[in-house]
Amino acid sequence: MPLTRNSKGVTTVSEILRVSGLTVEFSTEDGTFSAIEDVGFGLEQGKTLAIVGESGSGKSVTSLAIMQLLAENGRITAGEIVLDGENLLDLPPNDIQHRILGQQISMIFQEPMTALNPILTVGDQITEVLLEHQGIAKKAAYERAIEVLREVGIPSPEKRIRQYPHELSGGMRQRVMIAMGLVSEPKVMIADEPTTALDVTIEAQILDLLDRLKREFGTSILFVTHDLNVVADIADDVIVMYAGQIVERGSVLDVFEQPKHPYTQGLLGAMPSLTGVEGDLPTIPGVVPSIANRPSGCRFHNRCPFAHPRCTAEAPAVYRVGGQDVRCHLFDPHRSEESQ
Amino acid sequence: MTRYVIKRLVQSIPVIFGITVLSFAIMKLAPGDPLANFVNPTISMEDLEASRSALGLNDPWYVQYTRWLSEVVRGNLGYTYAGNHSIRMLIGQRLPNTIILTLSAFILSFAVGVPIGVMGAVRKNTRTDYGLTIFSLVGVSVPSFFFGLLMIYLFSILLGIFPPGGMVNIRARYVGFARIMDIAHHLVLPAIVLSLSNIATVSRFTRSNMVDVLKEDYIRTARAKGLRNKAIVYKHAFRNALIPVITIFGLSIPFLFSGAYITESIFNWPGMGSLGIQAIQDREYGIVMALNLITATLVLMGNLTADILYAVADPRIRH
Ligand SMILES: Nc1ncnc2c1ncn2[C@@H]1O[C@H](COP(=O)(O)OP(=O)(O)OP(=O)(O)O)[C@@H](O)[C@H]1O
Ligand SMILES: [Mg+2]
Repeated sequence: MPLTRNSKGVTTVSEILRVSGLTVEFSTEDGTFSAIEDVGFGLEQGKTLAIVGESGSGKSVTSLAIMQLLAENGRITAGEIVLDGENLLDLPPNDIQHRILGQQISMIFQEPMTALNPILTVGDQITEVLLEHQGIAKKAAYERAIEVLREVGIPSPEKRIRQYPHELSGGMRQRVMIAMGLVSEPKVMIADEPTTALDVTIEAQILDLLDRLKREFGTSILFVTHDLNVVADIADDVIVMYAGQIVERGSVLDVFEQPKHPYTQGLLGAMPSLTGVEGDLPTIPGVVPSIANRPSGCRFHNRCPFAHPRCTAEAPAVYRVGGQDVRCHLFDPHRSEESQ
Repeated sequence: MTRYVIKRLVQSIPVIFGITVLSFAIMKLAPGDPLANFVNPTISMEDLEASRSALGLNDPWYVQYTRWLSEVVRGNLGYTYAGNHSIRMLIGQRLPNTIILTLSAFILSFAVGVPIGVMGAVRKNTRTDYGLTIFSLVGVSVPSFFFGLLMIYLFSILLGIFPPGGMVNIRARYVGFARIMDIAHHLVLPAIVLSLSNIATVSRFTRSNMVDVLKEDYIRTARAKGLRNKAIVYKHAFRNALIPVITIFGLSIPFLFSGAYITESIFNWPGMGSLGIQAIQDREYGIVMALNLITATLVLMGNLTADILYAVADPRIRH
């Protein structure tokens, strides 16, 4: 893969989105805490990058921060979000709203039931993306909306376009959400657990759809999930998050074949067998610490089977191991003989 | 939709019937009767009793009720005991004035209350919001007679901008458009006083709905689409927030109509208020029953209007 060096560091030419050093803080009643810290990754053109991790690990905060849709008490305190060569954090809010959101990046959410406005028709909600920014005629916008609805596999779109969300099934609604995200042909689509609320057969259909869109339209997808089966199904690359940090990053093949970080290993061990043999599901004991109670040193040390004294005292750096980046002391090349 | 409206109208007939039976019975159970006012020392007990019998006041209440009902269904509201005035005419003279006042207050409640609520929600927890909250609290808690007198003091006596009472300038005898302007001029203070607590209720309710709606997922979706703030607030949030406000819409009509009694007496407004209060004192059963009938109809119409508006505003109900 060709590499170019620009002022911002090393970037592959085909990288459409690069996030680096992203840190988000929330001010709460108990004080100000960072929900994610130093999050960095690149999304390549036409690829799907999955963010995976248990509940509370910071997946949604990461995606909302990219969209600059954080809750009122949240703030991006450091980092860069470079979309196609442009750092979004340098742009005025007006520009973000007018030129970026819905145009160059779109987002679909977990709950298709509540993410659509109940009193506006499907057509109104899809076309407003076009009408708002592109100044095209209403009729043309509706024609385009029908076309997109057809592309996302909605039968008789001419009829559906006049319907309200409550007249559609959950799967259909999520297709409408996807159509809404696609209508202005964005460079990047962020999908935050788009199938979690759906039953398995519908989930499979939606995943197929996203995969097809990626191939047909070259849309780059940032796919948030806590389901490793889904990652294996749809993603090219994966980042594993734990307690607000990326702990492992690499291609799906590498990470699934040879998970390096104990947390990733735990997650994969916790994954229901792909061969369909239902046994005892191994799980990682404990839960993700809340943002106010993150342990010192390595954040995973209190749940880690390989923890040694250094893990409690010192936060690990990120090491390059094989094809992956791993945040774990075990992979420190200068590791002293003290452990094991 | 038409079928639904017809069905609701038919359903409301037994309800109105029930209300009139109940209020008639209660009224008859209360002590006193219309002739008590005419008693003068020269009338003998026998004559009084004879008049009572002649007027049918000695019949059991349900007999009297049936008699009243059989006239009312033919559109005859009856005559007063004192003076034998046509009740329909008495009400016909007063009802329009009360409707003018009530309707103005109704329009004012929503025309002012809704924007205040939206502003408070959009500027949540700013000084504007706190100011509006205080206004609303004062609005619901100040009794209307006090507020009415305050307004009269400020705007009539101190500033002399508005007349302190009445509906027309009796000496000027305006006609045509000048008369309408004259009435409007007299209407300002009573309409404000009557609507104050309703403005407060509407604005609080609008604000809290709007605050809730702005937290909804679909608002985040709208933001993710890069819509302008105006489109998010008005197209996406406002219309959803208005749906529950419709309930207040229906409730406001009878609330203002009965509130008008007090406002009318503060401002000497020639409406139903003074007629009704006098009628109760004089035991003019015909008038009291006619007023009950009107109020009951208004309540039911208010509810029906609200339900129809719900269906118009919310596609989930329409189907
Ligand atoms: N507005 C907020 N105020 C305070 N803390 C927040 C806020 N939003 C998120 N957090 C915290 O940030 C952390 C990460 O949350 P996030 O929603 O990103 O988790 P997630 O990985 O998406 O989990 P899930 O799988 O449950 O969606 C959590 O500890 C959460 O409590
Ligand atoms: Mg989430």
